[in-house]
Amino acid sequence: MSLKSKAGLAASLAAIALCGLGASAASAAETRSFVISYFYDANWSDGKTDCPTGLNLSAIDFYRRDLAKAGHSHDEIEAALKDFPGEGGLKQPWVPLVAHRGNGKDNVYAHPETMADPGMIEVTGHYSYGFNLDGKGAASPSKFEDPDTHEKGVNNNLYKVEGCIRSYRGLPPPGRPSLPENLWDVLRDVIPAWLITVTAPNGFDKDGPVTVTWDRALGRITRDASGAVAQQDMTYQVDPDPRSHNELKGSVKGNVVSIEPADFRMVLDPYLQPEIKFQQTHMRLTMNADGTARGVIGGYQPWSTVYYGFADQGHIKEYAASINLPALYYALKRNADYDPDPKTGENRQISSAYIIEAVRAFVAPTVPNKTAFAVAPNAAKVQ
Amino acid sequence: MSHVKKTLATAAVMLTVAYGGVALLAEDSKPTGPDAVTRRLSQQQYRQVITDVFGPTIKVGGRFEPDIRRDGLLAMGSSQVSVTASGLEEYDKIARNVASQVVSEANRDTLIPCKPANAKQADDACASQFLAETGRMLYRRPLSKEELASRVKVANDAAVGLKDFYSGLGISLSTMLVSPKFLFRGEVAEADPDHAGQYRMDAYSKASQLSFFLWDSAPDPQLLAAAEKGELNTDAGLKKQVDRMVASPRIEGGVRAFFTDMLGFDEFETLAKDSMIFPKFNTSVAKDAQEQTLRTITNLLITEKGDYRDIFTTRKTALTPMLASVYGVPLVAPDGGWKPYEFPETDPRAGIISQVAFVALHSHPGRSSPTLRGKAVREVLLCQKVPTPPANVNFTLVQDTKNPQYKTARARLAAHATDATCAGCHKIMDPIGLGLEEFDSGGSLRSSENGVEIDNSGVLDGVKFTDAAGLAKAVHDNPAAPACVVSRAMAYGLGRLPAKTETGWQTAMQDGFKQANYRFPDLMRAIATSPEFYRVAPPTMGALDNPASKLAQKTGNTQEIQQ
Repeated sequence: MSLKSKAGLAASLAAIALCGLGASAASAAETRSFVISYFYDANWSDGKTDCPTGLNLSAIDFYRRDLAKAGHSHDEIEAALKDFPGEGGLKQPWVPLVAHRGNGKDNVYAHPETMADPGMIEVTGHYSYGFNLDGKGAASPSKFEDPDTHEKGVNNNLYKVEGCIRSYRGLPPPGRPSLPENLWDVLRDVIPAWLITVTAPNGFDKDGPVTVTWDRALGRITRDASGAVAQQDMTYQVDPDPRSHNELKGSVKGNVVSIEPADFRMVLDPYLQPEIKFQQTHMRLTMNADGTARGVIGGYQPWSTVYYGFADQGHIKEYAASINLPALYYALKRNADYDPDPKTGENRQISSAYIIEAVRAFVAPTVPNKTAFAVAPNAAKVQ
Repeated sequence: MSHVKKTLATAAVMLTVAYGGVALLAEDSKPTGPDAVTRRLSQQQYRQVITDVFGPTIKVGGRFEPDIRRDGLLAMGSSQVSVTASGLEEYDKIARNVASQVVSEANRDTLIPCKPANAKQADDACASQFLAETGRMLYRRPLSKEELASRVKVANDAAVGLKDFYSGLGISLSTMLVSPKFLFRGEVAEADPDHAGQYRMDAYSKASQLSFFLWDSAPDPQLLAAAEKGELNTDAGLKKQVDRMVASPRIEGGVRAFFTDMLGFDEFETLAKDSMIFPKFNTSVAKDAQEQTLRTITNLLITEKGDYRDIFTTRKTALTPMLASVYGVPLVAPDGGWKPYEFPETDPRAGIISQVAFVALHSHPGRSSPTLRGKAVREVLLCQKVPTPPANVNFTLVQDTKNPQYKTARARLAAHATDATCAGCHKIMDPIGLGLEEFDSGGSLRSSENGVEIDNSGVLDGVKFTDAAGLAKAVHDNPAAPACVVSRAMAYGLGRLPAKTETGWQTAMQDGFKQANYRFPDLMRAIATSPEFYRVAPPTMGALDNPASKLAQKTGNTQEIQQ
């Protein structure tokens, strides 16, 4: 056994000890823990076949179009957009105009139904990262095929909706869609880290069952010297808040971990999306020899949560990311593919998938009475 | 502005002239005997003195004059440097900043022991009280009447001009902080009353010698009081003060300063690693790595009162979470701070040589270096001189880490050593450094290089080893290791190499160190209580009690920095 192997084993054993699984629990039990370095929309692109009819308009163009449809004159529109986007925030003349471009009085971000569907160019390509969530395989209404696993009937309608928005369009790995990458890059410095721990009762040398836990940490990630990814082998403590704990049954085959469909929840931040709450959650995670891990997690989630994750920043996200929010609203609603409302028959959830990039970490037990978002009076008691 | 520059330039000249012209001595004229030694305060010493005198709320910011290393120590270089004109401008900025903080509304009630009768006017009594007390701490001796009168006059004149007592006081204080009497510490000789015709170091110079050696700072009030009473001129009085200082928690500051110097940690300021190759190594790791080694040393030598040689083998240390990630070990420290840590016996890390600070500092930005590491063991830890390489050496083979024929550093160095001009020196360095090859340039553990398993075997002075722990043991058992730290500590305290006439003293210190079971504080105590530690050259310029001002008068530079 090489020294590196010894070191890796030592790290695994240490992680086991930290996780409270004594060596006597199972002679060959092994645990590997990771901290998420990047988490972003699983939007595939080859730059050609995903959006063959082109991309959605940039903000200034769809503003011109939408405002004209709303009855504003050419001169009025051009005067408002003269210094677009300009400085001064809400004082810019175009802001109130576009924010009320539905019925002229209500905010279209909060009430997108006040304007007619502006239309959205959606992905029509063959490939999408994700999973066959509906279990229909090639018979699924979705014709997507996963480019990595080549699974047929992949359900990822969130990608279908946002994949042709220029700031959300994918890039071949290791590239990432620009805005989701940027959002996570900002967010990870202010939210607690997310931890994935895989425990194999029979070890990782052979295929078999595993338990996968997703937990929020008490602290944030630490970046490495490049500044781009999380520092490997840092130690994190688990937040005992049950809202941030997911325990999933799964299996390992080779170095790929997958889970059985289950419910899943990540409490995030309104800056990105308040939470990700999946049903029928699927996951695959490839654990690499260099201590990194990469994978995909997907499931059905309420499309309204996704929408308001975009809309809560209103015109700022709309113009900065060129996302026509009312168009997004209608597209999400139209492409929702799970959980029909018993009264209306309209689906309330949309299939989705996110890319996970993680690095090896040590995970320590929880600290009683302490959570990442401790509030008074408990906050005063924590150490 | 031109006036300021002129006075600064004048002051710079004074600095070099007033203290015997020791500035920037050539290599071949370095002091090897008990000649007069004048040392510039290091950056750390400057900061520590300010903290000691005014408290930690006073921040010291700015660029200090660079130190130079001589004979393995910055402390040796400190006796061979001057202050450049631009350097003095920087000192002036720092001084003004410090002074403005001291006299600020937020601090004046705490730091100034009196209040003026009218804050908009000069106040002779209050200025005199503050400047006398503060000047005594900064100059490390009482101010002469002339000196005090001069500083008070500056304060009063400025107060009248600015219509503000505190501004005037601040200006006067800032002039003290750029005075050579503060920035430099010299050895003042006085006639020895017990030995007619001979000279001894005066008590205040003794106090500084003692305090900067043991605490890396200026004398505290007790030590100055002992000097004032003449107690430092008696063996009993000196011993009493040394015992007090060695027993003080502040001894840690002195030990840290010494090992920071001896281990060359100033080189961390320019240390860089390729972040693509060593993504774990960043500025936080570099900072923590130095601190880890210093904590390892001070814990062993001071807290545990251990054997100096055990710094090479101890597995007890302290880590931060960031540093733990480089070592690949778990560490729960919610506050991100330091936690005691002990490497298990199965871990290849043992002692300071295999810690991140040592292996990273003595490596290249993108690759390890058995040669640099071996050289450091020889020169830094064993005080053995390794010849500099010839100017025309071809390093291409050694630097080519992707050479398919030579996949490991061992293989590349073996090929390089076939050049006879290289082999001679490499054979005294590489076999040592190869024992640390399992640690990459960033300090992380590795088992292979380019797919080839690393062979960590090596030899030090005939002692063979198979890994880093074996190398650590070899250094631990090498008699040159304790001898080295003795000679370094003596040179560090003296600011010069021991003279040939002091060979006997050096031998006695080494023997004593061994008899004291290599307890480092005992070594410091022994040096500090040695009469040789206070030997001083006879006066040559006739300006002993106040060399700067008297020389200034002699040379016509009666104007101190009074801008």
